Amino acid sequence: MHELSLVNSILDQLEEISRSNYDRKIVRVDLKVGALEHIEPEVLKNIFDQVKEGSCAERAELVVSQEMALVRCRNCMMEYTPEDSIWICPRCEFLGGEIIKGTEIIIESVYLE
Amino acid sequence: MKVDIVQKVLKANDEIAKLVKDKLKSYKMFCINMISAPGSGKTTLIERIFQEDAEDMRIGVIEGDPETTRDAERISKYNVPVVQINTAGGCHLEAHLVLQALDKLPLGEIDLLIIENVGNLVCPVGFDLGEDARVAVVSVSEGHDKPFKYPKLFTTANLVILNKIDLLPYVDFDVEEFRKGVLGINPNVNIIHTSCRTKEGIDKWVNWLREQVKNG
Ligand SMILES: Nc1nc2c(ncn2[C@@H]2O[C@H](COP(=O)(O)OP(=O)(O)OP(=O)(O)O)[C@@H](O)[C@H]2O)c(=O)[nH]1
Ligand SMILES: [Mg+2]
Ligand SMILES: [Zn+2]
Repeated sequence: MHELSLVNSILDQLEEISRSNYDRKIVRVDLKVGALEHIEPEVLKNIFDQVKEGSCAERAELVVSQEMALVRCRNCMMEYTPEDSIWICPRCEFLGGEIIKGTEIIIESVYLE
Repeated sequence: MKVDIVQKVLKANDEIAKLVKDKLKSYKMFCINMISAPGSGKTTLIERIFQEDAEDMRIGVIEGDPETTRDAERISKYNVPVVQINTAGGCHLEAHLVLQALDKLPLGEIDLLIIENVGNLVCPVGFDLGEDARVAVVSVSEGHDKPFKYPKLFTTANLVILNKIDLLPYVDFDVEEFRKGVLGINPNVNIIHTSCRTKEGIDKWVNWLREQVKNG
């Protein structure tokens, strides 16, 4: 379950942010998760709610937004979002592509009380 | 008050991975990180190296497993330095675990460090361990549709091993589809076919390692 590692890393970073802001509590965290990361936002939120107890983010809500996958066809350079793990260019039917978007896990913003 | 930070969640792991990398470099060690689903044959592929003529490479092994020391015991039969990391159920290795494990290895007496990650196709992928190369192992019983299902692993791999090819007659695995998929995602990656049972392709695997060690 690498969701737990992610949540622990998030909490470590939140502690740091809280500390450098006069120990103000955190009330909301905006997280962006790439669609190619195999992460269930609901699972992540559930774990966050369990692990946040007693931390600076005890009352924080984790808001997860998905970053859509985007790949670039190596033949015609068209950028498209693959569906159902099928990477076939909709324009030229070339198989595969280069990942442009969809693999990030990023804390975008944090709301302090 | 809103603070925009835009920070990678795995920033801390990336930073420790860099420490691992620096340490490996200072001891002139080449390091590979082997990632596959459980049971694809990672440990067996490592064992086969020691059964080949590979004495020219001084090899050390780090075994990552959720529980037990069975894989490390299999490797220690070959009289090579091996450290077992138990992740206590955790589904992947992280850089700080590797950094600790390095302390238990005879650094300076190893040219090639092989890290066998926890059997899992998803979780290990985002955790840089400071390795120089990544090896993805797929066995033919897993199906040829893996590349597009786990694209990030195949994008970050330097070598893809298709293992258990002795079983090809018994499974519906389309080797050509698999190859097209892997190269569609990562056009420059090496693909080697192996069977740990018939030893087919094991020489290619050992030669690939030898080349990496030589070229640093
Ligand atoms: N037929 C056949 N069996 C193989 C081959 N390679 C490995 N096996 C068998 O597959 C099983 C699993 O192999 P391991 O090497 O333990 O796999 P692993 O990837 O290390 O497994 P975990 O560490 O649990 O993730 C063992 O029973 C091996 O003997 C192969 O090329 N052909
Ligand atoms: Mg193993
Ligand atoms: Zn195209």
